[in-house]
Amino acid sequence: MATRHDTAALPLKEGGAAPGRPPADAVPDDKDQRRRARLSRRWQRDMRWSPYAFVSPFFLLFLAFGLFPLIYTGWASLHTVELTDPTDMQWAGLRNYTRIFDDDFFWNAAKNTLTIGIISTVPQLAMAMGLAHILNYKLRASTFYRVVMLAPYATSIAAASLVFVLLFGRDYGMINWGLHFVGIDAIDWQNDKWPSQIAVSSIVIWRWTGYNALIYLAAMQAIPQDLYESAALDGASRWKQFLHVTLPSLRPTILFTVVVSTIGASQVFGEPLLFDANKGASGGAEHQFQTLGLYLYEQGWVNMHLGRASAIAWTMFLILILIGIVNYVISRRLRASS
Amino acid sequence: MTTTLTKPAADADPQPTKRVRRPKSARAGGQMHAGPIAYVILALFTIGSLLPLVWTAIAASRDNQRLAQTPPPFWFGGNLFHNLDIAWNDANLGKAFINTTFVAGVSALTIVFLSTIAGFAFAKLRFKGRGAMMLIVIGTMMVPPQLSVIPLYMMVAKLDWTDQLQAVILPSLVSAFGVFFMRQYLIQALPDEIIEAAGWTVPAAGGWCGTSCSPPPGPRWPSSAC
Repeated sequence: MATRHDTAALPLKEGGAAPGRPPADAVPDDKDQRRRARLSRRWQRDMRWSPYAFVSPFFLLFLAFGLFPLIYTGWASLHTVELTDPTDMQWAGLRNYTRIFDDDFFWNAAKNTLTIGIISTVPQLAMAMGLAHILNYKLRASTFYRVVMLAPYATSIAAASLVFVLLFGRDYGMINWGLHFVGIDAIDWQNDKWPSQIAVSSIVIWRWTGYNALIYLAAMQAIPQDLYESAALDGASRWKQFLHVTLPSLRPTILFTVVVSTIGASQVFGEPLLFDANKGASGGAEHQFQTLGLYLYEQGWVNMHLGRASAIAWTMFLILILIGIVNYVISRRLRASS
Repeated sequence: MTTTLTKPAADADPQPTKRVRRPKSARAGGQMHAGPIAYVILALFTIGSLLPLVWTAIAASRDNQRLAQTPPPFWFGGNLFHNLDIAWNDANLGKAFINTTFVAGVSALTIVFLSTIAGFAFAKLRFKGRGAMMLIVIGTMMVPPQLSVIPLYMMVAKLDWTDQLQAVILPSLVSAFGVFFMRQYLIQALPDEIIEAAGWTVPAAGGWCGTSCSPPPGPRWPSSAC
C-alpha cells in the first residue's frame, strides 16, 4: 500500500514545495522571470492533477477488488455455472434472468426486502435523530453514553441475532412473557408474517440506531453556535430552532444516512438467516422473512446455481442504482424548491 | 427544560452565581443542560443497548444444560473460565487475536488515510469527472457483498494467497463508504476560507490537505475506520 500511495503522491510534492513564497527581490531579471514561469506552470499542473492523485488510490484498489468481481459476476450471470465447478461455464444468454423473474419466491423476497427495509430504516433514523439531539445536551458522563450507543454496532450480527431469537421465543421468550403481563396473548414471532418481519427489523434497528445517532451528533456539533444565538434573538423557540437551524444544517448528513441505510436495508442478510437457524436460507417456513440477500444465498450456496445467484446479484445492483437515481432526483427537487 | 431553569430561581439566594450563568447557557442554543427526561430516555437506551451484550456474557458463564432450561439465566454462573479455557485452546484464539489485530489495524489506518484524501478531493477540489467518479464511489457501495465472494476467491487462488493474510487485507484497504462519509463531512466541516488561505499561498496540494484537513475530520476518523 505504501508504495502505491507514494507513486500517487509524488507529483504533489514536486509542485508543492516550489511556488510557496513569492520571490523577495525587487528587480526581476530574465532568469528570475523564467523561474517564475516555471513555477507557475508547476503550480497549474499541481492544481490540475492533484485531485486525481488524491482519488487514485481508491480507484486503483477498487479496480482490482471491486470492479473485477462485479464484471465477472455479470459475465457469470449470462452462463449456466454450478458451485461444484465454478470454472465450467456454459452460455445461457438471459435465461438466468427470465428464470428468476418467473420465480414467485423472487418477488416474495423483493417485497419482504422492501417491507423489512421500511420497518427497520424509518424508526431507526427517527430515533437516531432524537437520540443525537439529547446527546447534544450538556450531559454528565457524555462519553459513557456515546460509547454505549456504539456498543450494538460493535456486536457481531451472529451474537445479536442469537440473543434476539431468545428474546422473541414464542413459549419462553422474554418479550411474550412481558406481553403476557399487559394481557396480550403470545405472539408467534417466528412463523407469523408481520411479527417475524418486525422481529428481524428490530435486530437491525438495535444494531444501527446508536451508530446513526453518533453520525448526526457529530454533524450537530459542527453547526456554528451563532446560528442558534441569532435564531434565539429573533424569538425562535427550541422546536423552531431545531426545525429551521438544526435540520437544514444536517441535510447532507441526513441524505448520507438515508442512502447508506437504504443500501444496507437492501442487503439485509445475516439477521434473517440466523433468526430461524433451522430453516436457514429459506427465511422461515413459508419464506415469510426471506430477503433478496437470503434468496441469492439460497440459490447460489444451497441449490448450487451460481449463474442464477449472479443474476440475482446484478438485479439487486440495478434496483439499487434505480433507487439511487430516484433519491438523487428527489433531493435535487428539494434543494431547488427551498 | 424549563423545569431545570426555574428550579434554581426558587433557592437562588445561596448560589447567586449559578443563577446568572444558567439562562445564558439556555440562550446559547445547542448546549443546554439535560433535564431528567433526557436522562430517563438515555437510561432506557443504555439498558437496551447493553442487555443483549451482557446476556452473551451470562451465557458464556453457563453450560448448555442450564441455557436450554426455560426461564433463561439472568445472572452469571461459575463456568466462565472453563468455557474460556476451551475456547482459547480449541479455537486457537491467541493466533486469531493477533491476526485480527494486524488485519484490522492495517486496514483501518489505510482506510482512514485514503478516505480522507479522496473525500477531501471530492468535497473541496474541482476537477473534470468529479461527479461521475463520485457516482462510481456510491455505486460500489451498492454491490452486494455476497456477489464478490467467488471471483475474489478465484483471484486469490490464482495469486497463491489462499493461506495468507494479504488475501484478507488487500480487498479491504479502501472503503467506498469511508470516502462518501468523509466527503459529506468535509463539505460542511471544512470552511472554504481555510483551504483558500492554505491553498492559494502554499499551493501544495499535499500541504492543503495536511494542514487544512487534519483538525476537522479528527472526530470522524474512528467511525470511518469501522
